[in-house]
Amino acid sequence: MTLHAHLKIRRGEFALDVAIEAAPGEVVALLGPNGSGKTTALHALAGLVPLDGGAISLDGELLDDPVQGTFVHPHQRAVSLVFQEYLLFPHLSALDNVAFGLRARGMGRAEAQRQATAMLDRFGLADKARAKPSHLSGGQAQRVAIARALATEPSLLLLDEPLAALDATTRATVRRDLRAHLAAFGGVAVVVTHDALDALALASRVVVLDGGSVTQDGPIAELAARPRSRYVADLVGLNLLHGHATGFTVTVASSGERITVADRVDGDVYVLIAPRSVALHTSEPDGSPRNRWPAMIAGFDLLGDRVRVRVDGPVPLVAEITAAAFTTLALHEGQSVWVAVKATEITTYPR
Amino acid sequence: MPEPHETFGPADVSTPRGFGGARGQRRPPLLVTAIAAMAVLFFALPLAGLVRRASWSTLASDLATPEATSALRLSLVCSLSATVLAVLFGLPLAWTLARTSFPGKAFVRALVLLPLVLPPVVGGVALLAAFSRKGFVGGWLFDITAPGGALSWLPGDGVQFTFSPAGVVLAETFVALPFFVITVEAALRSMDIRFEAVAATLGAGRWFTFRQVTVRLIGPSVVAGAVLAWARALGEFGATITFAGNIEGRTETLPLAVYLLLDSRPDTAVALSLVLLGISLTVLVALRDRWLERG
Repeated sequence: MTLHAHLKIRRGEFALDVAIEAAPGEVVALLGPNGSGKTTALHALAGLVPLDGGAISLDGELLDDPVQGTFVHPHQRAVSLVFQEYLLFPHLSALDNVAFGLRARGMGRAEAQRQATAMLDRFGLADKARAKPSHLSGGQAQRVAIARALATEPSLLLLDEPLAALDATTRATVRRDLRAHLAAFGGVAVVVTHDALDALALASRVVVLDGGSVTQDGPIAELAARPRSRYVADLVGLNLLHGHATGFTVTVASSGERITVADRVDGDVYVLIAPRSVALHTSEPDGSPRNRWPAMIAGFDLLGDRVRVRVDGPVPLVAEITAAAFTTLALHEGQSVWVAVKATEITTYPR
Repeated sequence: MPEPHETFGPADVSTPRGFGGARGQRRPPLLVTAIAAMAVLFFALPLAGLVRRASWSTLASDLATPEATSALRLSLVCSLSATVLAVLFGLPLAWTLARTSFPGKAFVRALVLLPLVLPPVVGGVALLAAFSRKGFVGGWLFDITAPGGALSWLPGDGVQFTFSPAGVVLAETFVALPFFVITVEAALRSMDIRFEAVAATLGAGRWFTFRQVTVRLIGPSVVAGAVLAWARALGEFGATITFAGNIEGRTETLPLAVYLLLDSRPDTAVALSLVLLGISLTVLVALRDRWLERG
């Protein structure tokens, strides 16, 4: 159950070009902002959108290859897709929804219902078998949708924003359950999400999409430690800059400001600064920090007992300080401050 | 969970969205109310007249006359046959109009909907021109099914629509089909087609999806379209009398009988009219959720 996919799709101005490789049992998250092409990629894997280039093969079977002229229709693929709104058939009970795929494949009613009942039981929904979708809660509907998708024993399970339709209170529970079900699934699972937390909880690997192409691909830990796009850096809450390094100095590409770093580097690099390593001062600081700039406070967010302060200046950054410090310094929007970052707190890695 | 998509059924138009609540509403102008009341009377008076005119004591015996019973039976058989034909041909037609695109589609739709506005008697003349024994299709059909023709093994001595119940069915289908197509096409267009995509990813082929998902989701509209088509077929007069003629027991349906008996046996004509009125009211009540707003 190995997936090799290189998806190339053109839609007017938008071009999608994504490669996804996955081994059996692997859960891959497709992470990206709205309009990055995540859902289109998912629909291409399901066969709802034909490829313009590239190829998809699953378990050694070629599913789509425009060059060879191969196209396997959605209903003949061992691929199940769970839509964002779940789309349970409103005229069928939960049980008949789960049995639908088995019936469509020609299984007798009695056997299909027996298997569907077992599936619902696994998802803790045995008592909802007779319920129509309109009588299910969001979390229950999601479980029925996933049970329905898994009932046909697909080699590839596709989930489009599986948690986006849920409210915050049920989300955490459903996320945990979904994680367990995905772990038990033997095939390849591809989960589309724009939420880093969902990706972190559900997937072992993340493919980051932006504007139709992959900006980063790797294990979650690597992604968090070495973000390669502003989008990922924002998701994991880190400051990401890039520039050109010579020796112990990096010239920031956007402003020309120089940043001193602790380790010797050369060439084009990413510069990563954790918000809690950024100090704010009301007057120019003297002392050990090698990097300091005048800046202006652009805004702030309260995060528990911490405050994330956005500062504008030659190097726009986010600083994380304690609420107590925020109050003591009497900081406010539009205020001029000094930003200081110790060279030893800055990580660099090649672009 | 977001609100589920409104996939079928009429939009809620019962309350105009405006300013103020019940208390803030101004009284409607008297002149408008008076004219509106006159319009309502215009509809109500003829019906009241019909009910008043009926000789209720002889109603049962009037309806039991041979001419009345044969018209009732013929109307029922022909209108139901026309409804079955409208569904059989209308469903694929509505699907094609709703889901495919081809050159000249606007023209095809106009053609299909033409009988809605065409005077039925013109429809009857047109049917004569095509399907009578002298018509270019009817003549050919008769020749191949008559003794000596390629299909002469079929029962009967040649297919003939004029002066036969088959002609009545044809005329009724001609006028009723558009009602079914227009209703079902609208339902197919407003349906969330992602349900069909879901079915496909679950392994359902097109035919299974059509039967188990599409038709089930638009089911209420299919029923409504069929009931509308049946009501229209049952009341068909102009095309039927022009094309199929007026032979008691063969082509004399209820509306034809009402018209022809009006001089000779007016009580029977009124009794049959009441039957048709009753059926129309029943249809209206059956479809009230679609058309009539409560409140």
